[in-house]
Amino acid sequence: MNASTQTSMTSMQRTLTTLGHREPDRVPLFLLTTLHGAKELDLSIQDYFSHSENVIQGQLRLHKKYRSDCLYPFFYASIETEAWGGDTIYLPDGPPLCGAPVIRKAEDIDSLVSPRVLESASLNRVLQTISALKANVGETVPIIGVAISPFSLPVMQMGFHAYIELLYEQPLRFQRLMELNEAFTVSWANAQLAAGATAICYFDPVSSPTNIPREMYLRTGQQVAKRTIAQIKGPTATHIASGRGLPILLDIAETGTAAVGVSALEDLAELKRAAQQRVSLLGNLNGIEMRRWTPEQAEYEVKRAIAKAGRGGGFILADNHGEIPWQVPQEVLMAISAAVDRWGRYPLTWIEDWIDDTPTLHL
Amino acid sequence: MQHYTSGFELFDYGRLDVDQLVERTIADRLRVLMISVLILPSALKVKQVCSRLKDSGADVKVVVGGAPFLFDAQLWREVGADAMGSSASEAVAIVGRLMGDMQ
Repeated sequence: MNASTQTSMTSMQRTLTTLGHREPDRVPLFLLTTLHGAKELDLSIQDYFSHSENVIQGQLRLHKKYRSDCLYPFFYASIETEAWGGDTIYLPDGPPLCGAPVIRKAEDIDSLVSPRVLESASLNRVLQTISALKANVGETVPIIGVAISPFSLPVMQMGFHAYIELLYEQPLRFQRLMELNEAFTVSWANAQLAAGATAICYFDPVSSPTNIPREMYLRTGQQVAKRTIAQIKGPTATHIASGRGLPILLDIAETGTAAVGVSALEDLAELKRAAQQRVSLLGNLNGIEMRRWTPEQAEYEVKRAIAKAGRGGGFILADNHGEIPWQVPQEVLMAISAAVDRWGRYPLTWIEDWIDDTPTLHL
Repeated sequence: MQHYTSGFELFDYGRLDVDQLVERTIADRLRVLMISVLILPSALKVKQVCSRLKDSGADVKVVVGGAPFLFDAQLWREVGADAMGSSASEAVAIVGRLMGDMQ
């Protein structure tokens, strides 16, 4: 290890320190690569996710290569609907997609049964991956599990439009679906924690004001999140997957979550002020633009994010969606990693001079 | 919904692949093709649609929308679209402008 890469904390210590709203040795980087593991192993995305051994090796290689401060054994979102009887459509160059809805009409909810996590071969592949990663890194690196929120899962279970109709027009069936989904999500999240996950990323994009008004969120998504997170036996980070979150940031904090994944469409400095040290921020590098960044742009974006949200801790640098697109080249990922190493070290004494030299930057 | 009340004759194709979309656009002699996508790979496929429509000589404008285009302001030009709408109401206004330009 040369001088430029020496840090005094493990990834776990670094992450826990910032989540405590204190400054660690440097800003933690959660480089949330999933599909890139298939590239590392020279496999198709479908083949890669078909065996836990592939994802274990993929995650370890990615971790070594990009020096992210977490391992991310997330396969793909629709793996959860596979447990409900659904299927998955694989793309050659993007995240696997959910197949036909398992709830074809609202009446199907009346006879729907919540599946048992340990009876799902797909979910067991994820649990095996987490266990193996845990055996490899112990307590030095956070392992981030993923659970789709009970409130957002119906988008895959029944389709977006049908779910919005249910939400607004059929409160009793909506309530029953939430009860089923909450039981599943709690069981799934706790199984991942039992397998060795350090924390659970609770993906809840439907709750974003991009999708529903705040008033609806307070009556529905927030209540679901409060009940669910209270039963998850470990820390959670809530991610709204690129959706806007500023108007409900403190509402999300009230659900008991430790961090919120925030959108590139919102200003990190404004989000940091709004968070009031009640919740940490995870974000918000633009994963879509990242595809065509130069290494110099990547460095600038890292500096900008750190300048806006790094001071005082409570900040983990990550992309804004919770998954870096397949199309992002490794040169960009390497540049992000190098920039964090160079500019993320506390105390962040370079910020004022950089702001003075960067008139387009507004904090 | 705003499209249905906009006064334009509307064809809702649902989900199609590139081949199907190009074929139907030409067969129906569309004046404006609106494509909404959710993920980046789908956005990048619009480039094939625009290219093939141009090669066919079809007199059609392509308007795109959806998350990838919102997050990357240069993407709609990169894929060869004629315009990008950031909301349904904006898309209606764009279609009105394009139809006016083509008359």
